Amino acid sequence: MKLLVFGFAVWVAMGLSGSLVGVQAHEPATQAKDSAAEEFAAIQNDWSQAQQAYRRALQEAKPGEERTRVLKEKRPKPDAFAERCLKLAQAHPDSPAAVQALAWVMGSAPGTEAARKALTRIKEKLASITDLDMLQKRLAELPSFGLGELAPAAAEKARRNLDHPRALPLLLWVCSQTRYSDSKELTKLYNETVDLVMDRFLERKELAQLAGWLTTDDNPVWAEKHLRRLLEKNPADAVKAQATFGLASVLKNKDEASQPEAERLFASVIERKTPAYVNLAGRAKTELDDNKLRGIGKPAPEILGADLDGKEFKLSDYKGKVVLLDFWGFW
Amino acid sequence: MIPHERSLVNRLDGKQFVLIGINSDSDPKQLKKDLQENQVTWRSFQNQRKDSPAISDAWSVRGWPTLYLIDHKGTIKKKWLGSPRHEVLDREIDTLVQAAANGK
Repeated sequence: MKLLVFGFAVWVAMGLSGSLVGVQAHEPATQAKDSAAEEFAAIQNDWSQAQQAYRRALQEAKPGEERTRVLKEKRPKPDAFAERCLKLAQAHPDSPAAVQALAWVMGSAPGTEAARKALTRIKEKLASITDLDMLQKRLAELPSFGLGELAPAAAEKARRNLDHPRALPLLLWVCSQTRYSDSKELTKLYNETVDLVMDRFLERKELAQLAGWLTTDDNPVWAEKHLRRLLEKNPADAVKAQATFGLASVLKNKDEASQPEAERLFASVIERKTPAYVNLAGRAKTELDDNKLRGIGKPAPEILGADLDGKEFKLSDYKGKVVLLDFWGFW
Repeated sequence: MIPHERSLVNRLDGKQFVLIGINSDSDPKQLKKDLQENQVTWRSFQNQRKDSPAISDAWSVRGWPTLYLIDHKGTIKKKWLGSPRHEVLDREIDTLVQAAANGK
């Protein structure tokens, strides 16, 4: 499903989150490795200074037009930093800093030619790894998103070794990288991988996150089926809690007939006092309250406001018509 | 989402259907430009007007886009957090528009 934009603040925060890969202690080895790590640290330092300057400019800008302009024009461009990283990785292909630098490019300059180059190099590095432990270790060093292109090979390796202890974490990693994809193939891979995990690892306690993903899936029929299976078969409290909340959320948006079950499930999340349920209780309460006022089958509350030209109008002006109400923005 | 909404509005022109936005953009000048460039012809509320609470807060909106589908009698029939698939959205709307035309 498409990525949701959770408001302006988060968008700005995403823009500001510059360094995705921290500078890690490097192995005290050869001179070459040290200089690679030093160079990478220097690139990161320069980048974070550029980010700080941008943040200051943003704080000082007046809200509205000036801020929009700063957002557009003053945002540091990662291109030059990405080039330095690529050069570094080429010069020191075996240094751990090379992987960090390539990962940085992918995380900080997404969608650019440099990021594509970095991804290709990482792909080459990973292609030769057959050991699942090593593969997972390498993947863990990369940014936590935007690695969909690495997913098919990782899924294939995990599928061939389903009895390996790292197979499930790898398959879940594949899901995490493919679930928001725009590509048809990767969406298909996501669906197949979830189906496989559900068939093979249904009772495992690691599936809480998967239940969370299913909660907001854009194929609610499929999600409902899997959430019901998790609720029935998975013994782990954390998975049950997430599956209960998830199923309630899916049913809430389904149809009028599903509302009693949705509300009963939300209520059960609030009532149970184990930590996993307590964690979700606040959200369940919000959902339940919201559903009582604006649930399916309820009359739409009135909206009084002004249109974008400043002209007053109200939602009930359109009674007698089917209304699609869309909370939206260009940002 | 906008291209599909545009085609929805065109396809159902003259039918008992209306698309109403609740827009959260903060810069009116930029917004005007974007509306024109993207040929957004349908009406939107300003989400946040001076001195009044945001509509999205009053409606407990937790993510964008959020969509509500309301039938001709004013009853909420469907909700989506995040863009639904186009064919799903079309199907749900067409069913309600048909019911409205039949006066049910």
